Amino acid sequence: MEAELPTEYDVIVVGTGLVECIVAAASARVGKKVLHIDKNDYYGGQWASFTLRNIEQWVEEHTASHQETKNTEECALEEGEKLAPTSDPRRVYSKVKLSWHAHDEAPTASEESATKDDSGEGSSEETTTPKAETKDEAKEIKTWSQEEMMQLSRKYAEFKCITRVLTWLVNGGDEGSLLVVPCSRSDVFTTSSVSLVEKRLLMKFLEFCHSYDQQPEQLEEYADKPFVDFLKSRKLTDNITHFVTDSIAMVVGDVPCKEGLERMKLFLTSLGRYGTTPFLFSMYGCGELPQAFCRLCAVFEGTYILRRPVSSLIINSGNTCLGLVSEGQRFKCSHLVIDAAYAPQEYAAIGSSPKQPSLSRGIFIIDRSILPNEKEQLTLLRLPAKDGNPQIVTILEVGGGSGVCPKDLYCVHMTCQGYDAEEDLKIAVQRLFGCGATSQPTVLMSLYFNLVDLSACDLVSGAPTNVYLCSGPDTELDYDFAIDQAKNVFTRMFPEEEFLPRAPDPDEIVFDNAGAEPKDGDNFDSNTKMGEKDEATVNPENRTDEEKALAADEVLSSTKEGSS
Amino acid sequence: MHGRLKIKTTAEQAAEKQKEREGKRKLYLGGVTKAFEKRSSGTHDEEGLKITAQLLAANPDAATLWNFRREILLALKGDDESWEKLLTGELAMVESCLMKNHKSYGAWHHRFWVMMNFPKPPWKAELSLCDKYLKLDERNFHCWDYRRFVVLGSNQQPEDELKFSQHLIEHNLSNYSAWHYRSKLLPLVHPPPSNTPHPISEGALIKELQTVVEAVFTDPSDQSPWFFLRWLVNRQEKVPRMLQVGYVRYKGDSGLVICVFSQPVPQRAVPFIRLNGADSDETLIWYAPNDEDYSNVWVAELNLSSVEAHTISLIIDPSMTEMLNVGEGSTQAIEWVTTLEVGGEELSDTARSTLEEVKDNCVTLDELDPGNKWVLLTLVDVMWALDCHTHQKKIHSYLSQLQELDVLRNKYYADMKSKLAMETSLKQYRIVAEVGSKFELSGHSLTRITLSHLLASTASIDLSRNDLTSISPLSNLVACRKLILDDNQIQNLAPLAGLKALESLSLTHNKIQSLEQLKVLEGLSALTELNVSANPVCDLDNTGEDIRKILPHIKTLILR
Repeated sequence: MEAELPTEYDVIVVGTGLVECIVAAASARVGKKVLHIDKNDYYGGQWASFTLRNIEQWVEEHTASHQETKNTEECALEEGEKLAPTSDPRRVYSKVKLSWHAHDEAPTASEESATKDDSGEGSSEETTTPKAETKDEAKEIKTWSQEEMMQLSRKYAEFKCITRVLTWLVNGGDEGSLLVVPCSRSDVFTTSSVSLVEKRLLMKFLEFCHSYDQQPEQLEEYADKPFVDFLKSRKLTDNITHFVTDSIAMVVGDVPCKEGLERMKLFLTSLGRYGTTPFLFSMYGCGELPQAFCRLCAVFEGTYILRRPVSSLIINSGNTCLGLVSEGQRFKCSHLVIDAAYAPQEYAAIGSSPKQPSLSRGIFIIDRSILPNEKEQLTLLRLPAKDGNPQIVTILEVGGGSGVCPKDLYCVHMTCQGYDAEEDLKIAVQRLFGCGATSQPTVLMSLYFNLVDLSACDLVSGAPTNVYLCSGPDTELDYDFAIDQAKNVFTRMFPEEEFLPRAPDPDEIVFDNAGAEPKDGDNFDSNTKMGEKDEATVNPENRTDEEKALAADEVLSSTKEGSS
Repeated sequence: MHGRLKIKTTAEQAAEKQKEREGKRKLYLGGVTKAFEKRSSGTHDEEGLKITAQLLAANPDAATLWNFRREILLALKGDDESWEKLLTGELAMVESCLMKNHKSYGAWHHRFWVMMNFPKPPWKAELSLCDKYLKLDERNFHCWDYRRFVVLGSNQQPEDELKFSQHLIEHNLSNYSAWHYRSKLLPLVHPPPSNTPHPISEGALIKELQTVVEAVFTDPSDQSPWFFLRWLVNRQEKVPRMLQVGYVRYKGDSGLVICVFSQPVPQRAVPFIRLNGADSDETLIWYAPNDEDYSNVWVAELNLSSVEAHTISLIIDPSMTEMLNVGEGSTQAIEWVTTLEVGGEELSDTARSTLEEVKDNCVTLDELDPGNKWVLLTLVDVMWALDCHTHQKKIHSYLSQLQELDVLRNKYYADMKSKLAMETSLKQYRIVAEVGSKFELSGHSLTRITLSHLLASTASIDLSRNDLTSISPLSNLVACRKLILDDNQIQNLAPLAGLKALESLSLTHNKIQSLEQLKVLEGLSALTELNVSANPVCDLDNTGEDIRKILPHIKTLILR
């Protein structure tokens, strides 16, 4: 098949991170010829989700010393052309550390932090389930249910609602404890963590925020003042102020009032669309999202090749990219979209300055929820940078119901800004997993790493005009940045075209081979179906790349959406 | 490689839809014809089931088809095992119809029918079906009905149903159906002791109040929890009791025995009566002044010689006899049977403090959200339940606020004000007044008369300077001799037609327009004094003569 592979494309996309995938899908959607290449054997790049075994493999690859294997591939160059070698995408990672922890509860084990001996025991148990742990390499995925991401991807991916938002509340001098944040009306009604009068104050405030922009007169006075001052003017108690700033608006108290209210409004208008919190988590991990866009791209005839390294880009004398070289083969294109980590060194200053923004990530597998409940919950928790915690840490806990780990185990993701994951997340880990108190979960596995936050880098000025660099995950909860970047790249490439118009419904598509006309004279007593259309479901797993490319019918008939 | 992906235009789609619809219509009509043919030829076979199933799946509201289907089923009924199999199939079939329209009368009715025909109905599965459909539409009354039926059949405990309603309310506090269901279940699970005025036991009351107050603080604009809250705090007297007995002479030896009850009761509730220690019951003809089957007041004629003393024994029940002594020459004898207050039983300390707490919470809520009608209305209820006399001023001012806030129900609040005035002054009257003395409630803008049965034995009543239009409750004033109704809007005097003791009636400044309206008083032989001045009727020619003609007993007639 590869022998016949066409070598000329409108767009070649290198790397299957989310931004790249959205650009690929958008381009194919408007009829551009797209080639999508990734050197990995999995989709997602920095956004991928892994099984447990793949994590170990990934860790192995990323802890081995980065030897610069010089790309020595030969390729016939024409006059004025030169090769720009690609970089090792591993360059954005640092301080990767994977540990397996003692599974038995014998307190004697506490002296030595068990890192290696028990790993066999821990993993054998989990690998018995066919799809064991999945880790989201780069970021917990959460999305505002009302935002664009949902409009774009819900046809091709399944979502689950985050069922509760927690907060860490320090009361007086105590160490603090986890509480459910009352963010919807039913939460406020049932919560016992706010008093009767506070319930009213909180609800009133939430109602106000929902339509704050319609009452500008109430805001004038606070236009340039901090959000907290405004909260004080509304007579909110300290207790509610904590819930509002740290867990609903998710801001620090001194942000301008307007920004705080905007965040409140976004939160509140996203509520109740799919569930009791405004957040959604993609089933089977966030790695599903880039894949969803790949499916869309494939449906519109994008070509996919995985396990295909790209050694260099081909640049002509006018500093325009003509295409790339991969395994000695030359592919031509008018536009080249590439993961910034993968891009030639000189295109983006990555890793050159030590103080480049960076994310600290921690991924843990634990044996019970951080706040057990009768039903399995999908939990979001934001630890504010106060009471001893150095950084704002965003924490996501997912259980077996989301298809990311076996039943009764939980996977916890922590993210904050920082340069030393283990150190930055120390307080958070201490608070949630403690030092072995019986009520707290036991950590079975932990993985720390740091990742350069490419969203903060200049990705435009260094590259040729037809090479578009895409960043990896940022610290925000949502995908706004990725979508904006993808949209921006797309508009730069095709200013005249529409960005991802609505994907067609199955019955809007004409298949060449299908006998579209319904048969006449159907006897009533035959098994004529008068009800709804059949609902085909697609199992998102077990799909090989080839199948994906061929799966147009199947995918399109999948009407399974995240939730109703 | 597959071909280029083509997307249909909207015109193509519309044409296709149109064609599809045409086809469906043909199929449906063909099916209906076939089914009707079968029915008229009396053919009950499997094919009929198949056809009706398909038709009903497309249109679950076709009642005739459901009927035909039941006829076929009954015709095909075999032994228990096959019958059960057939019915199980029906359940699945009905559910597919419900998916199409989950408020289909026909489909739900069929499901009832199937379940009632089952040898061993699969109740448990039906309960989860209810859960499912109530999740889809939490106020689906078909499904609520069906759930009650299933609960009854499956012997599901009310405790579990209570939990279920709790769950629904926690999910959405606007689920009125769930609150209502709760009010039906609570008295079963937590029945109140017989001597309390609450709908449920005290412990449960406190707990429920706590929950519902949290709900109203969360969203005071939602009326569902308010209805529940008002139901909880309203006092309800469960067993009617006899309040008062009396004997009133109206003319010579003629007199009336009067029994007053706290609630309307049927005639059989009236006690037997024995005279002067006799050992057999008197045969009396009891009647209700309002001519209803149920009445607060029951009256019977009893002639007793006025020159001697009498003892009337009222046998309320075998263990309780009330004695009424009518002295020599006295015109009346009245006894209170029960000493309880007007509104029913006294509150316990716990209930009182709980209600006080609800009151304080509502006051707080009123400060936080001024102008919320439900807050005010509940305050009225709670204060009323606590003590309408002490809180009279407050309640009155809340009602005035409500009249402004909720203009559409202005009259309703005016009626409540009347009730308040009536209740408080009656309470006062009972405390200070001697039996049979004068009751006066003039100048209170009364729009409505309540609790008139408590005045059944009162001899002199003044309700002048109010806004009364209807005086029908006054038929209870069977012992009244002097009645003043000046300055009202009264037209119809019929309710006074049975007041045999009435001697003096004043009706100045009302709306009596014709002689006809006065004619209803013709049977009142004791009535000798009538004042109808400042009524339209006085402007007619020869009014005085005409009135005297129809009411010959009148000695003093005042027209101007």
